Amino acid sequence: MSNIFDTIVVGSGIAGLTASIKASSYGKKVAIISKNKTTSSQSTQAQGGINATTNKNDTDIFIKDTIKSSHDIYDKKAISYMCENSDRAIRWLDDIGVPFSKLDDGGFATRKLGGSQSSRTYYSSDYTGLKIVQTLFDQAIKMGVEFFEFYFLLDIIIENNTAKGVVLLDIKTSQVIQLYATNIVLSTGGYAGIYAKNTTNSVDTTGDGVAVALKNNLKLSNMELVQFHPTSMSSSHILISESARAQGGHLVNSAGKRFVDELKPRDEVSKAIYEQIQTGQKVYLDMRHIESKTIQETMPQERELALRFAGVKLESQLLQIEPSAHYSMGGVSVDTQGKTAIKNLYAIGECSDTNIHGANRLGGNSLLECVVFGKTVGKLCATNQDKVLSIKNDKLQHNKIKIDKIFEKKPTTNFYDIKDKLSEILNQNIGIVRDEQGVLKAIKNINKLQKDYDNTSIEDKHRGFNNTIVQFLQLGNSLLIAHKLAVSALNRKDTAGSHIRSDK
Amino acid sequence: MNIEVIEKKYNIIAKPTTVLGALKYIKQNINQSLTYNSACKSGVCGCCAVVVNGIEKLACNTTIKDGDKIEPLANKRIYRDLVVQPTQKNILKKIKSYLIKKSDETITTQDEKTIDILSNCILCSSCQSSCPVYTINPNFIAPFVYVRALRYINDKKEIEKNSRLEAIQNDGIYDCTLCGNCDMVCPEDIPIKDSINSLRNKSVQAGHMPPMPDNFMTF
Repeated sequence: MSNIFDTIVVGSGIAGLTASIKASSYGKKVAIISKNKTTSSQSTQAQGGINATTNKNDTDIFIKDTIKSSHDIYDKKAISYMCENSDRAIRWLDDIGVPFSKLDDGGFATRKLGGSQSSRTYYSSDYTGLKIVQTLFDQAIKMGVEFFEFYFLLDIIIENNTAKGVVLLDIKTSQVIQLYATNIVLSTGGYAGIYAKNTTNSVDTTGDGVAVALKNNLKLSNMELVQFHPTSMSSSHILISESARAQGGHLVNSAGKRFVDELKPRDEVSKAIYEQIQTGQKVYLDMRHIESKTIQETMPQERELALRFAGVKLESQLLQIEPSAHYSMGGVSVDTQGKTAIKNLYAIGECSDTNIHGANRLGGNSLLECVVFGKTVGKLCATNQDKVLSIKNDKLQHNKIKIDKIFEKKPTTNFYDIKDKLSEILNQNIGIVRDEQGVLKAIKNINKLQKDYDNTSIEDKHRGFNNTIVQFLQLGNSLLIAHKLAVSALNRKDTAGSHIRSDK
Repeated sequence: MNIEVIEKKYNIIAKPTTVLGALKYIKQNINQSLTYNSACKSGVCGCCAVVVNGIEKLACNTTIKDGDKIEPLANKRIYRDLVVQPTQKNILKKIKSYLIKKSDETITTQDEKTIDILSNCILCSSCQSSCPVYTINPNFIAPFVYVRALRYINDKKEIEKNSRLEAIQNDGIYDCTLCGNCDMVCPEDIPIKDSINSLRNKSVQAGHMPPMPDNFMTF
């Protein structure tokens, strides 16, 4: 396998797979890198659906809904671009085989999610993410995309302000390698997983691409804007999608009373739940008034998750829920075409900040962003006339030394304790509601943890397949991101959507 | 709680509820070298399939009990401890596990139902691990592959349905004993045995002859 490609896509969620398929459809040599299996991305967990409009009138309303939900942190050009391309995105997914739920007359079934004025969320029951990911994976096989599984991003090779390759840890062998390409696409996912003890995210959602971008001095923006999803199951923090409320589910407190319009945007619903919990109430999702057949047909996954992980039958019992860190609106700052400040380096999907979601993402807009910008960037990569020639850099050597040091060094602390402490700090001080004192305390404690991290290492010294070192490196990335998130939270003095400042 | 992971005994003082929780506890507190895989924690990424007391399970949604014995999947190349090689792409390419040519037919709710559960495969390899035919014949096409073939053959969106059948004749549908192990272990409850039966019917209809016993002609 040659190590030179036209395009290297790092991350194999919906954004990355879309970009790789699009780029390879022009006959280009494309590699897609995953730190785990190709199909195990965060995208797989998306349940609710993907937004789209088919007529001009609703496109205008869709743009307005997205702007309103952003709390004035937005780029209208980017939002318009996404909304205006939404119909094409859905048609493209449909054309490559995504089995969307249909109506009896053959039209697409849609549901209305919170903060939307019309029913425009397309879905595949509540397995939307899983079915899209598996279909895209199949297409990527068809197009001849080369899959690199169990490779972890260590660094990006940049020369003369131009991206030229990536340095990766081969997790199977613990060796450091480099691959070159004309175009590098970051589609590495978000960072809400750093709230590890209270997140709906996968254990792999640790913001690695965002951290690598930060290490390479790329601009990150809106890092403090982390969405807390209103309905994760208490204790397991597994997501129960907004589709439950879209189907008519209620939120009730210990007294059995509703306390919020369930179809308000997520930030408002999460805040209302948070306030109930602060006053000692428990909060439950109540689906008991919904027809059993509707629950079984439109939300089979949620029904199964509630049964398996909480022992609750949604048709007849209340499910206790609470808000959990779910989505990072901030990330690597990009323009309306997914371009970063480095030439030939792009960022798409949750790792990027397109200035579309602002302070609160609308349900159904994340998958849409992934597909629209995945397609756009895939095409840009395929039509880029640049060529990577010779490269002189010391990043491979630098990273080899770094990895060797981790293997050689004796641990002083169990690094998993640092991970737990980081999660506690974030959830306590930079959770749904923040204040200056709490954030300052968090920064101080994150700095302390950084020192502990720098002094320690791993006990597992096996230089073959080793994912302990990956978890250690992920923690390093999480600490960098947590610090940036905390400083950004300190600097945004006023409340905006998901960033609720109790002291202002 | 005492459990055994790859012939090593562990005493777990915490009270994890799932197999994944127990593995995490061991790695973080007792033996950092213990290697397993996981991602979503909710049964959709297909990373954490292992064998618990002889039966394939997803570690994330399986309750842990005192005395449980955990082993890696069988019939797979083991990378380390409980981590196995991901699905091979060449066999999926060979059986054309993708839409080849889209039809313009209207897809209705009923049409959608014919591939709904078939399109839920998460490539966890539990079926491959449980398959007795695969154990004795590594060239046998693993059970999940038939599911993916049928998913596209049954899809009304697909025009070129039958070009997939050729690739599953040898070391394929007729080598399956229809024992149903794969059905029992599939975490997504996909009817794999029925899928293979359906592919046999479709193969005959498309003109592929089922193999005859070696001594048939001399009978």
